[in-house]
Amino acid sequence: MDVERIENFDLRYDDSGRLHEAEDGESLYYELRGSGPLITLVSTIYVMSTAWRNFTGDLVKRNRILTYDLRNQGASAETQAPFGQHVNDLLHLLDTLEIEQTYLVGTSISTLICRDFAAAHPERVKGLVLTGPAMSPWGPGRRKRIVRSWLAGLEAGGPEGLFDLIYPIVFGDKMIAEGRGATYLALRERFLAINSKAQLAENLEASLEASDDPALLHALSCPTLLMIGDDDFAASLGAMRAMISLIGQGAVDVIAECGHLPYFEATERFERSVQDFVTGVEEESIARTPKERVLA
Amino acid sequence: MTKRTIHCEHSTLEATVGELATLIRGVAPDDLPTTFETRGPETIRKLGLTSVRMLEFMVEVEDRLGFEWEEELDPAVVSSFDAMAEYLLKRRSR
Repeated sequence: MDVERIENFDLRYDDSGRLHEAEDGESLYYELRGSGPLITLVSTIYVMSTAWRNFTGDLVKRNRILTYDLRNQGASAETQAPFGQHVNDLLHLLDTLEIEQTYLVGTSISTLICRDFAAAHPERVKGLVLTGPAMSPWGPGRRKRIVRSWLAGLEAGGPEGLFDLIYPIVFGDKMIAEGRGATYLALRERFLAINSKAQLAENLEASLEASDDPALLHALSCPTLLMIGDDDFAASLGAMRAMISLIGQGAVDVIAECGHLPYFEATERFERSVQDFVTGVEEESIARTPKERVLA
Repeated sequence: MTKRTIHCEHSTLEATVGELATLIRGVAPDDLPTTFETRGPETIRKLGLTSVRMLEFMVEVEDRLGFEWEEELDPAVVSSFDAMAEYLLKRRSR
């Protein structure tokens, strides 16, 4: 984790945000900053849209950044919907903002949303970055068992019990060792402050609806980057290679000494990876970029 | 960051709460209202700090008071100034 950036971190909902009315009338909070190629970062269950400000400080200097709270999250409406609604919400948001094409960046469970959107609306996605992909080239069994174990932990121990399950596997070994008690306690406190048991349960249950059908990967036609930490509990290099094979094209960036959340633990390398990818697509040089890189 | 150990001379709950409030103001000068509650339940949680500001605060408390947080802490200890101060006073008395 880049400790030197800590002092600049900011998660506040401020005047830069707006409320978008989804097609069913529910509101979604979003922020649109910067100028240049549009990059949409899709939040995951535990990460609000405002958090992305802290992990896109370099990207926003050269790109336009769109972030939004998923429904039933943060400042968006507290209404649950089927998992597939997230794709509809994103489409409606882009249409309303008159955005024809975007780069899509997903993390963990939100990579399922990004994948589904890119498969359903290929003409709207200029490039796809899946960070810590929650999908498997071999089937959904492990992912669903993990989510069910988290639901059981949530039921038995509440959000605190769930955090204690998640923390040691989501965050990398090195970060946990270096962060010690202060990091664990601070992250746990914020997790408990912003997540209710009900919302966590609803969102985790909804994620079980997402499909791991390999056909969805076959349907991806845009340039694709898979980004994983080498200490990611849910994504191995072997699995990424198999996914690239299913997609038919793409590249893998491996962030060294990093867990499931590269944007959090290795922000500079996360941003460099995304920027290199966007530049490669924009300059039409993506075919010449390395198929596998380790960012140390 | 150089670790500075400052042995707190105050021993009362109220004084320790005051010191914690000063530390949190120091790490998040632009994120906090001009005045905020320091007594009662969830007074730290209600400030709505970011994850990383919270981490900064926790590290600052360690550095300033010369100790290391134990992980096996009730979440209530880090959610209010009163609970944190009580915990710190107990630690100092060991």
